[in-house]
Amino acid sequence: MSGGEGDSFRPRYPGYDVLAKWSSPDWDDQTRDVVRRRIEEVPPIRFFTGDEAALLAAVAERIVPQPDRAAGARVPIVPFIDERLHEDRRQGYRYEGIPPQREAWRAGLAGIEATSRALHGRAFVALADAEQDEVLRRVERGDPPGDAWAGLDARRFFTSVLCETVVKTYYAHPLAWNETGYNGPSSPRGHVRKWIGGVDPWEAHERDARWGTG
Amino acid sequence: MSTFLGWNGLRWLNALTAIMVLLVMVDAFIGHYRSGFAVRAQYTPFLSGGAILIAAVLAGIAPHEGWALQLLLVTGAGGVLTGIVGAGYHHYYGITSKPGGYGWLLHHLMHHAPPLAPFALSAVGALAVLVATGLRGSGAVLGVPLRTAALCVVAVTLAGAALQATLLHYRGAFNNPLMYAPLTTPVLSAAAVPWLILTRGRWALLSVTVLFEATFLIGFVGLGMHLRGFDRMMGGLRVALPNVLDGPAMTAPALFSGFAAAGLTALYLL
Amino acid sequence: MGDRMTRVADARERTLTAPGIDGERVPMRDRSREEVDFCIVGAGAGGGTLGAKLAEAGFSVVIIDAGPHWDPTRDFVSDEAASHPLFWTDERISAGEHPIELGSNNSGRGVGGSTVHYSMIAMRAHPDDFRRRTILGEIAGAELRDWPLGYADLEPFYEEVEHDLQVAGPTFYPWGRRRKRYPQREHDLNACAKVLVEGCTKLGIPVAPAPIATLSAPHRGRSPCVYRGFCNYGCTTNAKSSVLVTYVPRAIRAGAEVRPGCMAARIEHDSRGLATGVLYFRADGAELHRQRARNVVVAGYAVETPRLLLGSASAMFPDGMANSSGCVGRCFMVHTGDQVFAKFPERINQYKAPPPGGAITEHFNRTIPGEAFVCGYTIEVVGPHVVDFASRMATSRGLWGASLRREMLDYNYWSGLGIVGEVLPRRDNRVELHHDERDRHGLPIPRVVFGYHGNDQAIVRHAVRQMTSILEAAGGRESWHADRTAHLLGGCRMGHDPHDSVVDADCRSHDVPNLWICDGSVFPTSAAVNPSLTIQAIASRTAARIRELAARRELSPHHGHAAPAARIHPAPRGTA
Ligand SMILES: Cc1cc2nc3c(=O)[nH]c(=O)nc-3n(C[C@H](O)[C@H](O)[C@H](O)COP(=O)(O)OP(=O)(O)OC[C@H]3O[C@@H](n4cnc5c(N)ncnc54)[C@H](O)[C@@H]3O)c2cc1C
Ligand code: SF4
Repeated sequence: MSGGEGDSFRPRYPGYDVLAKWSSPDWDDQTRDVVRRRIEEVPPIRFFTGDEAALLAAVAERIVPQPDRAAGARVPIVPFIDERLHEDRRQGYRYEGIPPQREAWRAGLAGIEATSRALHGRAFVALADAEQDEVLRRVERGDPPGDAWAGLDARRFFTSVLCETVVKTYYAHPLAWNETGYNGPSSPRGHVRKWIGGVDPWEAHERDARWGTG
Repeated sequence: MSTFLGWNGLRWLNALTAIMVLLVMVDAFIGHYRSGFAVRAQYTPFLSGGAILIAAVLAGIAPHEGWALQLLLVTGAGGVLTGIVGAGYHHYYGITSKPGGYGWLLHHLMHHAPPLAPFALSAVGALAVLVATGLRGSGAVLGVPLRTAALCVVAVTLAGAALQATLLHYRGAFNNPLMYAPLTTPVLSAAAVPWLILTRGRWALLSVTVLFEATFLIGFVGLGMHLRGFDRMMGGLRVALPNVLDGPAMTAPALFSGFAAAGLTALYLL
Repeated sequence: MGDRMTRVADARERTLTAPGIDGERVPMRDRSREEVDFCIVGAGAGGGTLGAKLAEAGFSVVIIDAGPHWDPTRDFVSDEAASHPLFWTDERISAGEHPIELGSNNSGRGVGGSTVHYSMIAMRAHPDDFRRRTILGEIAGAELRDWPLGYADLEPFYEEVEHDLQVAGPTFYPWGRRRKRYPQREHDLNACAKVLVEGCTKLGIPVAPAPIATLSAPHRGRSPCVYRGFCNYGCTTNAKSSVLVTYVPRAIRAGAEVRPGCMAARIEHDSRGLATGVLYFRADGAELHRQRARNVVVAGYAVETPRLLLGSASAMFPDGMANSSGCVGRCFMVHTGDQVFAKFPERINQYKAPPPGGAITEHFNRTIPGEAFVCGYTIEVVGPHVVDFASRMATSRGLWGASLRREMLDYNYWSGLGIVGEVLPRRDNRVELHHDERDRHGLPIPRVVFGYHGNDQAIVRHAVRQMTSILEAAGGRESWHADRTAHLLGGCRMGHDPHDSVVDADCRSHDVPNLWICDGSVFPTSAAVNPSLTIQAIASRTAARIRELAARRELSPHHGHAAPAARIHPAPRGTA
């Protein structure tokens, strides 16, 4: 799992930078405003304890690994989750068996930590990548050892709370847009070449327009 | 042969040819750029049209030089052919090869390569051939007197352009009543021309004249409306590129004026 | 002219302003101190449409909505993550055997309701959809009912709404009854739709341009669609015919007040059991406000509508208002919305153009001979943006870690299809009040219990197979399936029998004659087409029926009792 990871993220759209379109007709003022805040005003940690934040950072790094980026250049994940919990901004629903989000996150992180200790006798942050993955996979499958998960459906927590939130946070960042070739904001300018294989001049271009070769 | 502002009919037709081939190329460029010049053949109208343009300019400067007229004749004929082949391409790439094929005919006709547009180049090419023939001193092409031939070209082109415009205006749900304009005087003039050719009556001449004049004006109104159309797209001309690519065909209405002018020229100066 | 006269006549009247659709402010009457003819809760597909029609018919109308009144040119952002204010994010508990995803998946919040972020597919239900019980008979485990109205009743209103929304549709639509041509022409297809057309054509499955409620040509100062593809996050172009930019401005122009930021807490009634108005919380405040009304309309969508009725229980109505039948909150339905994605050798760029892409097939929207299930599904195109797509990869495909990031590099090469699958009504599928959890206003939160009928799952299995073969026929590979639901329906079904339904065909509750329900919750069965056009056609019909009833003086429930509080004079505006 480790080692060559950085390689496999070799950019498909070299030189594509969504932010280069900042002043183009793809971006309107209100969108510039929210994306600027996302990049420049990374929120401070207010909800999680220091340990929880470190644990979640390690977990997030397994769910969306960023070994190809230096520590300071990574897409921040924990601060945005922390902000949501600090403001207690809800999602509109939760599955029965999952407590309200603040409790769920606290309990879920504690559960991961307990699972780590039950399986490997060490804190999650101290585990090797493969061991961390193993812990998370046990949680994902819904059969983590230990009783830390009483009162919380481990499988649902992993998929619909933890994994979904981390992934959504990562892919909301312009760095993720660059690597996926996502066009990003688009107002007032829309699209013209909508057909199969069609790429507008202002969309992401790649070296080789065919997959399987890159 | 009568003259207008010092030029005879053929020289005026030559000038109109030059202007219109430019308009045709602008529209073709917008359409072909929109599709990303995915097929190499999409460059042909600019080669063919460019050649006609150069030949028409040369023939305008040197209307008595045999080589210039020869060039105009050859490039004009080339334009006629290119247009016909182009229509085949538009048909194949715009309909046959599209998902859904003929089952989605109306959709493809409205949204893909405009089926009749390439014939605009044929029409301009035909004018070039007429001009070259006339300037070389011949009074007829393929046995048809120049004046009659020119009127026929104008009539067929106006009818075709009206059909193409109506198709696109249908796509636009005739959101402005003026979008019915192509169905008015252009179609009537096209219908009145055979009447004039067959009867040569005074009333026929008067009707065709008035209809051509009205069509000449309508083309300019259309041009203005199409430019306004860009502004009704989000962002207006601030988002010029996509709005020009997806908005109303920029120069197409001017062809109505151009061919109406050609018709008037044929009526009174040939 | 007449407008000004009434203004002068009523000295107490104050004028407010509301956001227009182009960044301007428009004047609006303040009706907070009046006893209005109609107080409508919810300014979405049902409430907004009904409100405009009633106001135009001369009734005094207040529409309150829990969310903001959006200014489309300033409030909508081209960004998935920042669009959460558009959705209903108050807590709900999702329970049952197959608990459903709520929140941004189906519930809007704010003026325009869910139409602010809907995908604009504007379909009519078919004649048979209104007669499920007659056609299919009794089906074990399901509570099939015929609708109290039929296609013929709704047809003129479908047409009217299609005109009001300027639906862009095909010249010839191959399914359903013959119909008048759509007001605007179909849109050009995006790549995902071309994939559908290509695959269907190869397999011999009929496929057609989709009717979509977004402009394909300019209309009254609104620009046509520029194919930005952010429809599910609000349309900044104003091409999208959401209720926010169509009926709401009409309602305001006709004298209605649209009051945002007001969360209805309960419906009040008098000793005769007639509704007298609505108590509501302002977004920022803790105290209750009262809007007096001669008629109350609940249009909060299939979760909030039953919640409000149940939450309005009183000594006189111990099981909740309009609930003597016990049907409130029952037979709650969704549509199955399963999706299949496949990877293609060429760029698809699924974020472009409205997500429905422009093509559709209703070929399987019928009971298919030889299959072990009844009813069917419609296949549509989907086009999730990158955050949404990544989260589906993670939650449905179970991808995370390096493999997720690697797969996501191919984001632009995936194309997807989704269904609107019919779901049979089951009594146990329900909306109820949570026994102890409260929202920030102290109101019990809703608990939504859902589980599929075996028939629903059989439909999904068939659909997933079909979608997979369509995608593969078009050249797609590595397909995978995401199980999802869409659209909330039912919970306050309409019917003739007061013991078996909540409202009648006019959306008037059987129990409380001046209480009406006008939204997706009145559907007795789900019909495998997107619901909002039907919701809006029903709203238009209800408005027409209310006019008729008022003209015949049958609107007043206690007519003859000289009860002025329940009398309505639908005087045309300006004749006062
Ligand atoms: C992503 C997505 C795509 C969709 N695509 C389509 C489509 O393509 N075609 C289609 O036909 N349908 C589509 N739908 C469904 C469609 O949007 C809804 O079915 C429809 O809008 C429901 O109408 P309604 O009037 O019942 O409720 P809504 O339109 O949701 O309106 C309800 C309103 O009531 C307000 N409200 C609720 N409770 C209260 C209260 N207590 N006090 C005050 N206000 C309250 C809410 O804030 C909301 O504004 C889509 C939905 C989603 C989520
Ligand atoms: S794709 Fe069209 S309808 Fe959708 S947001 Fe963009 S302009 Fe509006």
